[in-house]
Amino acid sequence: MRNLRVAVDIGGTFTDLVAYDEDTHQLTTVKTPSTPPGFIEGVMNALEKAGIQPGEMTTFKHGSTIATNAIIERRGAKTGLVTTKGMRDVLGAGRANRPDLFNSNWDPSPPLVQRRNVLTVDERVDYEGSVLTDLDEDGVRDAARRFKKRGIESVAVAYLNSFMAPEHELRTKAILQEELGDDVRVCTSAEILPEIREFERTSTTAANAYLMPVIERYLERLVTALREWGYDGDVLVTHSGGGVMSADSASKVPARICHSGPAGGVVGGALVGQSAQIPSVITFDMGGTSADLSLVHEGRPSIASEWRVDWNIPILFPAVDLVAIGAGGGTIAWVDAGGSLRVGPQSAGADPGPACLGNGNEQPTITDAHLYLGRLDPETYLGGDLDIHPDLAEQAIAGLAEQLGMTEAEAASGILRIANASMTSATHLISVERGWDPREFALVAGGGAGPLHAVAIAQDLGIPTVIVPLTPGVTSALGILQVDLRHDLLRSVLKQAHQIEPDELVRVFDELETEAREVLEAESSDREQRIELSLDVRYYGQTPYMNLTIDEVPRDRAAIDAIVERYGQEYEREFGYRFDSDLATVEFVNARVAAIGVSPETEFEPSAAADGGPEPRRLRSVYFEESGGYVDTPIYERHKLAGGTRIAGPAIVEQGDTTVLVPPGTTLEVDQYLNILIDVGSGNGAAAQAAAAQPAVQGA
Amino acid sequence: METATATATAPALRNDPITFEVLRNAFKAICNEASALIERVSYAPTITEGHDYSVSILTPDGRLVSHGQRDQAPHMGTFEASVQHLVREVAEFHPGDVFIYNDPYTGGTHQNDVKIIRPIFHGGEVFAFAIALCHWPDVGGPMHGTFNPHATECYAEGLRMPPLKLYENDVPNKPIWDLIDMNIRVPNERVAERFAQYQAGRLVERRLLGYVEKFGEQVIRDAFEDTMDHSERLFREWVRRLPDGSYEFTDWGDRDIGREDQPPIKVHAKLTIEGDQVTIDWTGCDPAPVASWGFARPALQSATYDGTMHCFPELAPLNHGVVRAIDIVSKKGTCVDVEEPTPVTGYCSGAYEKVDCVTMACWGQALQKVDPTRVHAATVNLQNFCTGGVHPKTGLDFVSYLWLEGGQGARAYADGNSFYMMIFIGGASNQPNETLERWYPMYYTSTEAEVDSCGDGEFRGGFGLSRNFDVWGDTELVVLGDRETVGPPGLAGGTNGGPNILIRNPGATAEESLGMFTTKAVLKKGDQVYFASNGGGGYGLPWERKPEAVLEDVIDELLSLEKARDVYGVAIDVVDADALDYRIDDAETARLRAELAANDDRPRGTAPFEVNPLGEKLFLRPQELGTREGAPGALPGQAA
Repeated sequence: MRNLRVAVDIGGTFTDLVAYDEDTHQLTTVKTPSTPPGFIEGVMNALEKAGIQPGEMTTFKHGSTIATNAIIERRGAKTGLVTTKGMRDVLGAGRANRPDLFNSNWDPSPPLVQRRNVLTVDERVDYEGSVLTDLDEDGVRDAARRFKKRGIESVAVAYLNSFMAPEHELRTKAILQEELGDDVRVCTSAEILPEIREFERTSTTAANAYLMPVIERYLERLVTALREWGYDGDVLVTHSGGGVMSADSASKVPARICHSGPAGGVVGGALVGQSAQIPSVITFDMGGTSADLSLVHEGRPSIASEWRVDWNIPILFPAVDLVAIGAGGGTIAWVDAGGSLRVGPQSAGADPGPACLGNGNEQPTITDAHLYLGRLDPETYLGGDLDIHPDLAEQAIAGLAEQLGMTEAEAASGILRIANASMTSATHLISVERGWDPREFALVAGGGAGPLHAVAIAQDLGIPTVIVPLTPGVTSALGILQVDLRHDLLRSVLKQAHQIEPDELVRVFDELETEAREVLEAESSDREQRIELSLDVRYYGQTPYMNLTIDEVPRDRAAIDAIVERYGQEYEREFGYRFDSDLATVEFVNARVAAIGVSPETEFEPSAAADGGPEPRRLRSVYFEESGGYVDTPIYERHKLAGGTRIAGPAIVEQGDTTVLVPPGTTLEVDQYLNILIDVGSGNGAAAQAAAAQPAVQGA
Repeated sequence: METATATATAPALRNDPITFEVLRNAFKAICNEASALIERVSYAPTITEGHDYSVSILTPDGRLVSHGQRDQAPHMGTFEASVQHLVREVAEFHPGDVFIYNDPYTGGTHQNDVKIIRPIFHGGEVFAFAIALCHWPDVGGPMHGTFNPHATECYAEGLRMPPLKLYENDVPNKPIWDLIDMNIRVPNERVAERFAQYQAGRLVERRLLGYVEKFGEQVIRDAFEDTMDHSERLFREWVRRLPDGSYEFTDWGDRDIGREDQPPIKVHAKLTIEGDQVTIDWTGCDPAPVASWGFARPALQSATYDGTMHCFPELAPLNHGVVRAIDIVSKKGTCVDVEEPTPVTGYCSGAYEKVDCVTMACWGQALQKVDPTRVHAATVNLQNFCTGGVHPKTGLDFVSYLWLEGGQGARAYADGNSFYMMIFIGGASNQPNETLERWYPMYYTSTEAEVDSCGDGEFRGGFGLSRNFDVWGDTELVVLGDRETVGPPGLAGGTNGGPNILIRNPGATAEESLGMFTTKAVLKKGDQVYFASNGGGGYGLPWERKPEAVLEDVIDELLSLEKARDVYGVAIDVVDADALDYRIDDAETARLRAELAANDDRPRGTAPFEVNPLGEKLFLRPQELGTREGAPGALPGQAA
């Protein structure tokens, strides 16, 4: 019998499954339609389609869009919030800012808890955690009474300064639970996110409460379905930080499982880079409506300490740091009243989709431009299941070209240049502007549209290599397969480095570590365990901080000084200067401990090398701006490209879920794991140089 | 009299349309990146939490090309005047020169807005300018935070700097740094801002030169011009669609506290549209006040552009193309074109808000029949709120600069949002209570809606917010605001929004209204301060508001049962408040509404909750505009 590790990524449209045979190192991938609103049926369909028997499955990990969707579509629980007297509108006011300077027509999305269900209780602690006003327990009971009458299903508790003193929140929870019974969920900010800044903390806690009943029911259904099917092992859930946790934990902190799909994608991209022996990669995933970009240095994804589900719904859990831009296959090109060609932000999405689908959108999209330029084959596009009308794409492009007074090919090519430029800007932002040299990275391209644009972006930034994994459509599931079990724990420190007592720091880290070990024991006793320590550090007085990983708890003054020094170095690397100690002291903001249950390595089986060059399926006329027009271009089928294959551009490689564009002057190679590596170097001195210095990216 | 000259219709593109769009987006992206850098490395919560900063690119002759998407409109609207003054003053620029500059009369807003300007060279010549501005929480003077409501001259406000060389050959010019440090409070913190602003300029330079290398200098220069022409074309296209004619509006500042009789201050404009030509004439404004309320010509231009951009949000980012398409006429010595030494620290809460409001009301009249979704009543007025002292626990000096969000003005098709940042600083944020409590000796006692503070109407204004606090260490307080006695104007029969309020020890025998013009009040340990903001102006007649919408506000405890009944004519029975069981009494509501409609004896005037007479006379009601059920068609700006 096989030993299969299985990872499933449940997206809004498709459910992707990846199964890894631990003995043969063979990978099976399956894509099936998702089955909203329940989603479980889609998972079971994928298992069946992959031909997996319950007894073969050793691990089941999954990521799901259900939490994010529940927030965006406002399908969460009827939620109440208990907060400090006087602070009723901390949640509703948010940070009071707007995404657009001049747009008075913009409206924030409604808060997750209606004002009427935000109840306040007399209590107060100060910024150091001393109690100014005792908790009014009768007030809490009164709130519970009202919640009960209103049929509230879940309650968030967030008091001012509770990150310094959790007692009032914990006592409130106990009372609420006593009054409301076990059917109502209660969570406190002190338990899930003891970090300064009341709005962001309250928002995270409210989102968590809002999701608790929904995610709990969903996970129960999933576990039941898997048990009935015959699987009795762990059911693990991916979270935004690029790790997994048990279904039990996920039910308690469901806000952590928002954003899990993109997190899986980034970890998957890192894994692809590792298989190609390039550990530092920029992942680039471009689908129908947007493109996601993220940076992985030496196998470690960049982690942000804050992200937003929506403009005014920040969630402060660590999350893989993604930049999303509104450029996807369905993004619409148009001419504004000033006669300028604009690309986006409107998108035709999947429905009605590009003009070539003939589903009601007549405006040209990025996909239409590719189709017009011969880069997509109407017969085989997306597996050939769709009814594609090239004439409709042409009509749409022709309308645009006429308005602009240029040829259709120029207009189509122009759409792509504008889209590429905005993606290049975003890539620049996450690399160069954060102190990373893009020449030391490879660009891992995924999604249906990513491999069509990747070379142009790489060339613009001097990134020497583009990698297109064998299965770019399931990168997220692949990442989920690999992610470790991971819990991120945190305590506020908020002391200046020179004033902090080493004992104090040791005590905080000890507490966190104890908690971390308990979680690992409960969820991951059979894995290799690892504890990672880190500190959030900033100059005293600043708001943003930098997370520094530390090898051990600083136990004396010298160790603390060493961290301060390292902070200065890192700061200088990123910003180009640092402050002298007489000008600015350094503050330790949060102590963090990551509890990690290491996932076994995924090893890929090298494939046999090709004997002889591959035969193109056919030639097609494809437009390349750099060649000044249409060029007869060989079209290859991905599944026929064996390891060691080498093809000079121009060429196009087609596969069921994407199309790879290999422009003139670039070279494609297939490595032993069947990744496509494109050397984009020629025509770019710096890139060619870096490419030459790149280790072992050649195929077998 | 001074006017800007409008040119004829802009020429066609110099670059091909694709290169143009690539570079137009690139200029925005460069400013956004530099802006984000400032946020990450600055010091003051005003900047890192509050976002009071801006970055822009200008041409060598000082025309605005682009700015950051979350920057502050008052700043960037003055950058043209700033660079043009710099170019006049400096005989020769050298690579690596960096200038610091904050003089409000020649180039700016008020002394706190400190600009750091970097000439960017290519081929041995100045190719562009990068400006990074941060609002420094203090630039010296007698008051913590530099705002000085009772100043009668700028010499009693703060340090005023002509363009000074902060760096030479990218090396700090120490005497200038020392001069600044000797004249401001907590100078150490401001060193971080200086670095941040300097680094932002370097970033703009690096990025811009990267594009020069890729596209060639001429293409980039042409792209600057194309960007402006493009905006001008869009703008004139819009103006041509509007009916020719003159549109006027008047708004008022509460009072000139520098004069004994403290008269209100009149701000009046006449917008004239002829074909695609636009003139805005401010010569009907009152003379310059004695106290700190008015502003100099560069800020008048800035406020006029801001009001205009809010009516045409698709034109963002602001650039010279819009600037040159508007003739702005003003008279020296008036409150919107003051001369040295008339004080200006209070320019933003004073003249800026009013000019913004009047500009929008003028455009609104021209727009209402063409696109009513561009018509907005007035929004919360800024209160510059500064505290300072020595922190009792740390022994460190502190200066804090804050502001308070409030109600957005109602729109001709929808309510205004509550807890809304002032209209001209949409990119700014509030500052967390928990952060403030760590730095300053106060405990916040409320962050709650000010009940009934909305301007009323068929569409109501947003609600104001109260952010009250108790003081536990002696603190000096300076407040420079407005709209305590003049509410944000309501339109089309809607009422003006509720007042800005500042009271010490409310309800106690020692209760004292500190108001919006408070100079150096000393708050003592144990003092309780009540601080609440304006509601937004309303739109249309309150008794034509949907009863269900009134009910929702009552259930949310934003609106009292009394106001629902007396102003909106909606009678609500509370069956069980705990269970949220509220019911509308239909018969009684019909009776009340008939009575209100037949007998509209609401007071007319400019005070909070009065019916603004001009707003009532000049604006059509939602029924006449066809907006009762919401916005007809797409909303402007949503795709921008």
